[in-house]
Amino acid sequence: MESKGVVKENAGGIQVDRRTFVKGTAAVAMALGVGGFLDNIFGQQVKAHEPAPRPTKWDEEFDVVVVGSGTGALAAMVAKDAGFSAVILEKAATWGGTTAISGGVLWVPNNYLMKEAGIEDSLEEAFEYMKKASFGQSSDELIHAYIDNANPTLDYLVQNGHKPKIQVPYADYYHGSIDHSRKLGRSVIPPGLGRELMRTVRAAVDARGIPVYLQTPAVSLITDESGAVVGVWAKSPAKGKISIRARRGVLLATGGFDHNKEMREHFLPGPVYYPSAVPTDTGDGILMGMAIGADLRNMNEVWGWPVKEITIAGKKMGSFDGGGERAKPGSIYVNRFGQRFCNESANYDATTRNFYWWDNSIMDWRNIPAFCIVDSEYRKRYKFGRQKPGVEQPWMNRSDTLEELAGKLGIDAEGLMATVERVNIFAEEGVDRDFHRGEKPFDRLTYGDSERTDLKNPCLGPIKTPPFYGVRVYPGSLGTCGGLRINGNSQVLTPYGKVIDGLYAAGNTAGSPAGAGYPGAGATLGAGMIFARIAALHMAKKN
Amino acid sequence: MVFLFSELIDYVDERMDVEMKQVTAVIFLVSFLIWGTSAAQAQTTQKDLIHGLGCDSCHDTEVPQKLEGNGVCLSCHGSYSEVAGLTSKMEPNPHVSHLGEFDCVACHKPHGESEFVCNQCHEFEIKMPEAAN
Ligand SMILES: Cc1cc2nc3c(=O)[nH]c(=O)nc-3n(C[C@H](O)[C@H](O)[C@H](O)COP(=O)(O)OP(=O)(O)OC[C@H]3O[C@@H](n4cnc5c(N)ncnc54)[C@H](O)[C@@H]3O)c2cc1C
Repeated sequence: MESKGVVKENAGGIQVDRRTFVKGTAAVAMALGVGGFLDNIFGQQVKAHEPAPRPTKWDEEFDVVVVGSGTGALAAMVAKDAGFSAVILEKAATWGGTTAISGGVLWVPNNYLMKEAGIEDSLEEAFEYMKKASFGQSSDELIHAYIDNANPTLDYLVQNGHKPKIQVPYADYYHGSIDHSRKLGRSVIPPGLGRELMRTVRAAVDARGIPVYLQTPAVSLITDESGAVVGVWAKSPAKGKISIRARRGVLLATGGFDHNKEMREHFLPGPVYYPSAVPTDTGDGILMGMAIGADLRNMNEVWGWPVKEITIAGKKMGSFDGGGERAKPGSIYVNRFGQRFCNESANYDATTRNFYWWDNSIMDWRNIPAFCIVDSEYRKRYKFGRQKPGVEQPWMNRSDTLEELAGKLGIDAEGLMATVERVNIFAEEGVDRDFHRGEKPFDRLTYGDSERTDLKNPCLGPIKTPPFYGVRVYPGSLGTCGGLRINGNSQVLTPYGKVIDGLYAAGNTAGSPAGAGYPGAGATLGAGMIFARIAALHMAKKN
Repeated sequence: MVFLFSELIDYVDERMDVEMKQVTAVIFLVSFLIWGTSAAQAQTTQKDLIHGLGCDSCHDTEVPQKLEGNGVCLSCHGSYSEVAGLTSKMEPNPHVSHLGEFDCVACHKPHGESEFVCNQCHEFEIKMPEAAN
């Protein structure tokens, strides 16, 4: 890493130093204004993410430094068990990141619960499935690493108090579309969801005496003359800027760039509304890696899900519309022309893709915003914007006629009425001739309402009982899933495929092993925890 | 007085459905306000249920106006993150959420029955303290 002098520049009224780098993606990083990402931490402006000089004396020393307390936390436990010291740095005041607010589901093919339940599976089939389900944006190396290390990771969690069950009725997300899927069993969930999972992990971390520094963001990586990562600079609430040596390696697990507007705009192919990740996931780890020349992968991807725009206590927010609502009979998505544009009962990630149609006839996103339309039969049975049946809210735009509803939401009324008429015929016939809703086993098994004996298709119901309800829906995300390019050891690589010694990434800070797909519920936490464990095992082997 | 009132609400809570509870709460409230002003000989004409403070403690205009933001609450309670620190043992911490620094009065209603707004969507096992303080 060469420094070509220092340029003074005014960013937001503050004088900052910007070094110019010549190698690798550092140039891209500069173009994005890495030097301009000023974090206002503890009321003090600090310059984040630029590689900082090596300290003359380290403030603290550990074998393994884990940055981020979500899925990465597992690495600290594994390192400690191998006899090494570890620390977890967390920017937020709270533990567990997005992982702790998640469903806590892990996607683990051929797991012990499947065996107990007599569900047949094999790692070979899982590999074949995941290879197709990552749509060309992963690699055999990463997929093998995922599949081969999934069970050891789950078993390790279970040894440490994790008590999952098979997630019923979750089929693989492309079940019926991609071969070697399973209709049940690969997704496992703890009863208390992500909160319970991360409570278990925290107890295990505490039991090992691993320090967790909250409100202590890592701000930049420290490298030696060879370019190897040997530590991090962090901001401590009590001590200010501190240098922390990592004798064996640094694991960047700072989540995605969900809340970094500039990165979202420059990397993602379209807008993402109301991102669901914790607000501290601002791409820090990715930027820190870029700043020392790391390569990137999968930056155009998110784990997508649609969100309904609701208002609670005067505050607009996105309520995720995973499938429990959207996919049920009597609910459809339409665009402003009143036209449907997707199979509403497909998995949420695939459904989110259908929002991104840039239509050159109107020079705009044709399906953004979209609208979820339901009738009173639907509202009697299912939640709407997470509100139970019977709960009325002004943002539901309750209307006696579809025309009135279209007027309130700005939808073409004729278009909407024609669509609903057509959907009602489909419902009667049990066949969605436009988007094949309810044809794939996934739709029926996972999201359909099998108790509706009044329907020919458990995913398709008529929309005819007034009053009608409608809300805006947008493409949202559970997390971005592009980031630093890693190999099967979770080691970060340069654009030339060279390993950056001492630097590891996992979770949404790394280019996802699932690429542009979402193989099944739990694949995102899976990618995080599996690769965090792999990283720690690799660091432990270093001599 | 505030303490007594909250006990009564608890009593009501256990025995009545929500609608009845609200009606009863109003009756209790009115009788307690009358009782409160005379018995405690307070200088103010109306009391705020959460803190037992006078109108002008929060509304400093002659004709009380609707307040915006958390400024008034935080002028006594410190920063939002300090408040979050007080509830850090709760799971989840109601003052750390995707809503960011949410309006205090969305849940802690000085003039009405407090409501744990998060549970309009979630199902957390958290109850509002009837009268904090
Ligand atoms: C409601 C919801 C439900 C979900 N359910 C599931 C599910 O059941 N299964 C599944 O597989 N996926 C699920 N997901 C997605 C999944 O939660 C995320 O993809 C996953 O948690 C990401 O893990 P991570 O470790 O990469 O990031 P996170 O868990 O977000 O952890 C990153 C941490 O790094 C911290 N950090 C950021 N910058 C710094 C810095 N500079 N220094 C120190 N720390 C820093 C952040 O504060 C954060 O705590 C869900 C998501 C949501 C929103």
